[in-house]
Amino acid sequence: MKVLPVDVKQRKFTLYLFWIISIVCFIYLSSIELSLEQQAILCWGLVALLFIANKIDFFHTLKGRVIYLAAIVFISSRYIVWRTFDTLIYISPVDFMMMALVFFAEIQVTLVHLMSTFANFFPLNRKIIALPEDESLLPTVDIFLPTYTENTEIVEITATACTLLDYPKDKMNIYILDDGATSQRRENDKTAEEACKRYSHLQIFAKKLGIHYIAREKNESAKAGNINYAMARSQGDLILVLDCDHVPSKDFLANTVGQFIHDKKLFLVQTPHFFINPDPIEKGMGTFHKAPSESEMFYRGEHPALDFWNASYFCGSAALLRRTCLEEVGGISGETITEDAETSLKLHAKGYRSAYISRPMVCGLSPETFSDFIIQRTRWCQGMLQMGFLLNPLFLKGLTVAQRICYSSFYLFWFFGFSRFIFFLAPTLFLLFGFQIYHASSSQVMAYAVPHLVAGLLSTNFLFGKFRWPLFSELYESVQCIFLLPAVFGVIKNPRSPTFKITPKGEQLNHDFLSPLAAPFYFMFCMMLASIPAAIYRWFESPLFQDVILVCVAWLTLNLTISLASLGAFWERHQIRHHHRAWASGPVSVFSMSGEKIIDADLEDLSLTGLGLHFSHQHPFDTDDRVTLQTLDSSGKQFNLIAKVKRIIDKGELTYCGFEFCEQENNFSTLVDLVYGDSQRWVDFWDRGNARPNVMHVLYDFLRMGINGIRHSYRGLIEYCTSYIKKAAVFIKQHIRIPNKHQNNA
Amino acid sequence: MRNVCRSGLKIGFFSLFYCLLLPHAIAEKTTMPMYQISPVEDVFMRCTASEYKFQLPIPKRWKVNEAVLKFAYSNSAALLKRNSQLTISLNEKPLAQIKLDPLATEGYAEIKLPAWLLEPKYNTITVTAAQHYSTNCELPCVPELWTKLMMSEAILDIDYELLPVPESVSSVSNFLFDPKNPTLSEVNMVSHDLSDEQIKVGAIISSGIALRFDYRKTYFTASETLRANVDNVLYGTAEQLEPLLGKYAIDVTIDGPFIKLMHLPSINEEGDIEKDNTHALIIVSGKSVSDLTLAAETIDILSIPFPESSEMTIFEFNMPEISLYSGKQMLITDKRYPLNKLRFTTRTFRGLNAAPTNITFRVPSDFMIKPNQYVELSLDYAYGAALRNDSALNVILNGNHVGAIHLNNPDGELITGYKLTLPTHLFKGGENVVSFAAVLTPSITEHCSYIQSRNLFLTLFESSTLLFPTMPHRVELPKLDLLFVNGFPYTRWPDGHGTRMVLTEPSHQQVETAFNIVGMISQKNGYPLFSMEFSSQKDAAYEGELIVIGKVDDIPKAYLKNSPLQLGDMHKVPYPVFESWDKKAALAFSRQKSGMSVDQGLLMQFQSPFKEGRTVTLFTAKTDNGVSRLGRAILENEVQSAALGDLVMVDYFFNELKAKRFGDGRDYKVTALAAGLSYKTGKGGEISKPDFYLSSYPLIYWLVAIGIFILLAIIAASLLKTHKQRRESGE
Repeated sequence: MKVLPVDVKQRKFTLYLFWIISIVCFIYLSSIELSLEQQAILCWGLVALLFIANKIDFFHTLKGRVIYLAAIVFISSRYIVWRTFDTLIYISPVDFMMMALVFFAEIQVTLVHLMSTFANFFPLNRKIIALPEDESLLPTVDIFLPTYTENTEIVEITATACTLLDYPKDKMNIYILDDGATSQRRENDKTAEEACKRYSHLQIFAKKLGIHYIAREKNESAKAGNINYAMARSQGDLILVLDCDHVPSKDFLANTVGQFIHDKKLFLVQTPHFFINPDPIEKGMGTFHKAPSESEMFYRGEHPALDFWNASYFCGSAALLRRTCLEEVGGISGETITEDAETSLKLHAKGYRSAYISRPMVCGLSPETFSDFIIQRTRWCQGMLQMGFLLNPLFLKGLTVAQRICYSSFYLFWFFGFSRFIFFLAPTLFLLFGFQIYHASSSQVMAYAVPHLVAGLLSTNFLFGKFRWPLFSELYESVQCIFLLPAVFGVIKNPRSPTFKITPKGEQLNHDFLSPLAAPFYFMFCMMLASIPAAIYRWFESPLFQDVILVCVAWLTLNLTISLASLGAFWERHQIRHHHRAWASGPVSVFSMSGEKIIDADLEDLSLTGLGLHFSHQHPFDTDDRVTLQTLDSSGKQFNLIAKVKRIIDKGELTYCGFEFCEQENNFSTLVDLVYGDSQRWVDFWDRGNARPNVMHVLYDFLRMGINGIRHSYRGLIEYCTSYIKKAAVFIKQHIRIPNKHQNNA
Repeated sequence: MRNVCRSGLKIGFFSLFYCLLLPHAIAEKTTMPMYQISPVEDVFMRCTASEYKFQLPIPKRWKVNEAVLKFAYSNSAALLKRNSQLTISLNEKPLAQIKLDPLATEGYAEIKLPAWLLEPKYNTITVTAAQHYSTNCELPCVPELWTKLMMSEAILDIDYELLPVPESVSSVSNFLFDPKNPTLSEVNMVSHDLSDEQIKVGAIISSGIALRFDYRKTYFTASETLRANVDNVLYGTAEQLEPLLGKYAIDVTIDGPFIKLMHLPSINEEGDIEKDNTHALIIVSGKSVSDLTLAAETIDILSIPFPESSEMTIFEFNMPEISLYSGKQMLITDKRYPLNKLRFTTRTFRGLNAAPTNITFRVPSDFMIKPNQYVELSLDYAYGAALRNDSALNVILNGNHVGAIHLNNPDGELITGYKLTLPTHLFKGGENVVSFAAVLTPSITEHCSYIQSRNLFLTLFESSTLLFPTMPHRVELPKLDLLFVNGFPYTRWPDGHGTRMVLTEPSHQQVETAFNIVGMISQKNGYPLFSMEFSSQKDAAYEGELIVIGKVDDIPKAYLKNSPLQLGDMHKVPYPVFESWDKKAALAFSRQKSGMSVDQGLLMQFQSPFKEGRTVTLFTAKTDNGVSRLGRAILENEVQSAALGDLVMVDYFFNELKAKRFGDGRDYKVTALAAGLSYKTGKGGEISKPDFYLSSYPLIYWLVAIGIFILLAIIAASLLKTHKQRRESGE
C-alpha cells in the first residue's frame, strides 16, 4: 500500500475539509427562502451569466467547468427544494396520487440530471499506446463474433474484416459463435431448415477463411452463454467481442492492446460503436448526416467522461477484455439481459480498471425499423433496471463513490419512460380531468421551474453541445417513452422476468409505411390536442385557476411541439439498398480500361457494392462504361478496382457519378478492406463539423418534421383505410353472392 | 300590542324609580357620529323591497332620556311618491315612515328613538325601503329603484344619565367597562410609584380593562391622585396605598391579593368626603408586588358577573395554556373550522335583495402568503325551488368577489360539502373578512305577473367549514400597519412574551402612553399582555421585541441605529421626492439641525440594534405631554388606518368644523413613509444570523454564492487534477 508523506496527507485532509464545508454551504444557500422577486432575479441572473460564460474560454477549463456546472446544479437545487417543500399540497387522494407521480417523475429527471452532470464532468481523452516492436511481448487475442439469426452475409463481412486486422496472425484467433445453428435449433422442426443451412454455410465459410466456427448444443444464457462457451474452448490472453454486424477497422487491435500491456489491472478497453446507417428516427425525420446521431452523444460525450471516473463499461461489442479478469467473475455475467454492463460492474467492484479509446474502429448497423429500435431500447432499459434492482451499484461493495454515482445514473436514466410519459400526461390531467397535479402559480413557475429547465438545456449544451443538438434528447425519449413504460413496470414487478431479445439488424423494407407502434402515440397526441379546447373552457370557467391553466398550457405547448416532431419518426421509409452507403471523402482517380487517366474526383460515399464520386467535369464517360478506380486509404494503401458507371447526375457545377464494383465476389476481401478497414474514415465522419443551429432553427426543424409527420400520418391513415376497404371488399366478394344483371334477367 | 304596552310601562316604571331613587344621576347630552357608535356605511337601497340594518348599542350604565337619529338620504327621481317610502324600525318596532318624493330627491331624516325602546343591549335599527315606479304591474329590480342612505354622515343626538355603579366586583365585567358604551371610555390609573414592577401591574390592569371594552376606544390616564368624573383604578401594595386610603377614609384590610370596587370618593371644598355613585374606584392591592400582580391578573380575567361582593381576596390564579400565534379570532392552520367556531350562525337569506353576511377571522401577520396555496371553503347550503337560473351565492373576500355558486336547480336542493378553493394570496396577514351574498331571482318575472318572493331563500349552514393551509412564517418588516391590525410583532405570543416596553424617563404622561399602547394591542389581539416586560433602563440591550416610549431628547442613540429618521443633535430626515409605480417613494435625505413641534408625535418602526429580525417601535414627541398626546392619537381610527410603512408623523390640530358638529375639535394629520431598510423575520421572530443577512440583503447572497462557486472550483480543480493524472498514468 502506498504511504503518503505527512504534508501531502495534511494537504489532502485540508482540501477534503474545505470541500465538505463548501458543499454544506452550497446546500444551505440552495435552501434559503427568498422572495419570489429575489428568486427570479437570482436564477434568471445566473442563467444570463451562464449564457455569456459558455462563450468564454475560461469556463471550458477545469476550474471554469466546476463554476459553470455548480451554477447549474445550484439553480436546479433551488428548484427541487422549492418543489419539495412548497408545492406538494394535499387536496384529495386522487389528486395527491397524480401529483406524487409527477413529483417522482421530476425527481427521477433531476437526479439523473445531477448525477450525469457529475458523471460527465470531465472527459478523459486517452492517448493511444503504441504496441511494442517485439511481437513476442504481445498478448494473444481471441476474437469472438457472436451471432444468432442475422444474415450470414453480415457475419461474413465482419469475419473477413477480422482477418485483415493489423496484428500478428499467430497471436490472433477468430471465432464465429453461431447461436443460430445450435443443435437445439437444428433439431427443432420450426428452425431446423434455416439453422442447418446456416450451419453448413458458415462452417464452410470459416474453413475457407481459416477461422473457427463454434455452434453450441443449446441456446442457454443467450449472448453471455455463447461467449462463455467459447471462452472455455479458447486460450487467448485477451478477448475481443464484436457483434456480428460490427465490422472492425484494421487498426483496432493495434490501437487497443497497448493499454493492457501498460496497465496490468485493466480489464476492459471499450471503443465507440459507429453506425453506418440512420436509426429509424433519424430516417423518419431526415436528420442523418445533418445532425449528430444519438450514439454520438454517448460515445463521444459521455463515455470519455465515464472513463475519467474509471466507470467506462462494456457495451457488448467493440471491446477488448482480459481473460483472467473475466474468469475471476465466472465469465460474462448473465444475471441481467445487459450482460455487458453487469460484467463491468462486477469487475469494477473487484478493483479492476477500464479504459475508453474515443476512436471509432468498428462500423455497425442501427436497427432499420421502429419496432426493432424499440426492441433494442426495451432490452437496454430492462437490463439496466435489472442491474439497479439486482446488484444496486449504490451499495455494491468495492466500488468507488464516483463509480456508484455513475452506475446509478445509468439505471436511473432508464426510468425516463415513466417520467416522459407522466410529463406528457400531466397538463392533460389537469386540463381535461381537473386533477391538480402541480401547485404553483405562473410567477413561481417563471421564478423556479423555467430557470431550472433552461439550466438543464444549458447543461446538456455545455457538456454535449458538440454531439447533441438542443431538444433532440427530449425527442428521442418522447418517442420511446410510451413503449418503455410497460418494460419499466415489468422490471419493477419482477426484476428477473425479462429475457434477452436480439435486435434485428440489416432488414430490408420494400415500401414506406406507418409503424404499427404509432397507435398509442397517436392516442396520446390526440389527448393532448383535446386539452387545448379544455384549456380555453377552463380559462373562462375557472378564472381563479388562470395561473395554473397558463402553466399547463405552456407545458402542453412544449409537449405538443415535441410530439408533433415525433410523428415523423413513426413513418418507416423503404430500405432496398443491399449494403448501406457510408459517407466517405478523399481523392479518387478514374482511369479508362486502357489505363489512361480520365479525371480526378472526390469520393462521396462508399459501400461494398459501389461508390459515389463528384467532380467538376461534364460527362467524361457514359453510363455502363467500365473504368478503373484508384484510391488510397489513410495509411497510404492503394486500391485499384474495376467498376461500371451506373448513373450520372448533374448537380450544378458538379457532376455526381455512381459506380458499381465489378467482380465483387473475387474482390470481397479487398472491398471489405476498402470500405471498413480504415478507421480514419469514421473519425472524419464524426469530425465532419455540422454547423450547430440555434434553438429557433431546431424548433423550425421540429415544426417541419411535425408537418411531414402529419402528412405521413394522413397518408398512412388513408393507406390503412384503403387496405381495410379492400379487405372488406374481398371478404364481401368471397362470402356474399351478389346477383348480377344477367342472373336477374334470367 | 299588549306586550309592547306592558314592556313600555315596565320600562317607564323603572325609569321613574331610578329617577326618584337616584338624585345624583347626572344628565349628559351629546352628539355623536354614528360611525363611532356602530360600523355603518353609505348604502344603496335597491329594488322594490330593500332593507338595511345596524346596531345601536346602549350600555347598561346609561339611562337614556332621549335619542334622535339623523341621516340624509337621496332617492331616485323615478320613484312614485304614492307608494315609495322608507320605514325606520327600532328592535322590529316601526317608528317612522318617510315618503320618497321624486320631486325632492334629497332628504334629511330625524327619527326620534323612544327611550323606553332603547334597552341596554345592541338595539337593532332597521331601515326598509319600499320603492315603486308604477301602481300597476312593475319589474321588481329596475335600475331606477334606488335610494341612497348617507349613513356614514349620520349622527345621533342622545340625552342620557349615568346610573349608579353596583358596588360589586362583578361590575368590572358587566357594567363598568362595557363595549356598548359609545362615548370615549376613560379610566384613570392611580399610582405614585413609577417603578418597572408597578408599571407592569398598571399595564396588566389596563390590558384587562381594554379587553373588557373589546373594540371600544379606551383612553387611560395616569396620575397620583383620583380624578373626578371618571372611573379610577388605584393600585399598589398595601403599604403604598395606605396614605391615599387614609385620605379618603377607606377602610380595607389587605391580607393578600386584593380587589375592591366602591363608589368614587372625592373631597369637596369643605374638606368633606363625598361619593360619586356613578363612577367607580377599583382598588387593586396586595401585601407584596407578587400579590399585587396576582390581583391585577385576576382583574383581567373577570369576564363573567361574579363575584357579587364588593371586594375579593385571591389565592390562586391559573391561565389556560397558550401557544404561539394564538389570539383573538386567530385561525390555526391546517385545521378545519366549522363556521360556527368563527362566530357564524346558520343564516337564511331571503327575498330579492337580502343583506350579505360576514365571517371575520385572522391569520398571523407574518404568514408568508404564497401564490400556490389555497384555502378550502366547504359549504353546506339549501335553497328554495323555482329560482331563476341566474340566482347565485357570491363569495366575497376582503371586498373582492372571489367565487360563486350557481343556484341552478329549479327544484331547489340541499348541498353539503360544496368546495370552493380560494388562493391564499387573496388573503392578507391579520384580519380577513369573507362575505356571502345571495342573489335570488324568482323564476317568474314577466311584466305584470305576480312575483312570489317567499320561496326566494338560501340557508347557509354553520356546519360549513373553512380550512387554511399550513404556511411558513416569514415576513418583511417594518410594517406599522400590522401593529394596528393585531399588535404584530409584539403578539406572536398572545400574552406579549418576548416583548419589552422601555420608558426612557418614566413620568405619568409616558406611563399613560404605555397603558394606552398596551390597551390598544390587547384589544387588537384579544388577550391580556401578562408577560410583557417594562423597563426604564434605557441603555440595557434586549434581544426580544422592543417598544420605546420617550421624549426625542431622551431616546438613547443605541436604539436609533436603524431608525428611518435619525434623531439626535443632527437629524437625518427622509423626504419623498416622487413615488414610483410600485408605490415606493424615492427619498432624499437631509442632515439638519432642527426641532420638532410640540404639536407633533413621531412613530417609527425599525430593526432592533440588538438582534437580527427583531423590531423596535418608537413612540416619541418633543415633550412628555406630546408623548401622552401621541398615545391618545394612536387610538383614533383615522391615525391607525393611515399608519403605514415605518415612519409616521402625527400632527395635532384643531378642526373647527368637527368641533361645531360633534363638540370635540381634536383632529390629526398623519404622514406615513417607508423610509428605512427592510429586514426579514421568521417564525416567532427567530431567524438565524446567516439566514437573516442572506435573505434580507440579496447582494450578500450573490457574493456568498459566487464565493462558494469559486471555492468549489479551486478545491475541485485541485482534487480532479490529481485524479486525472492518476487515471492517465494507469495507477
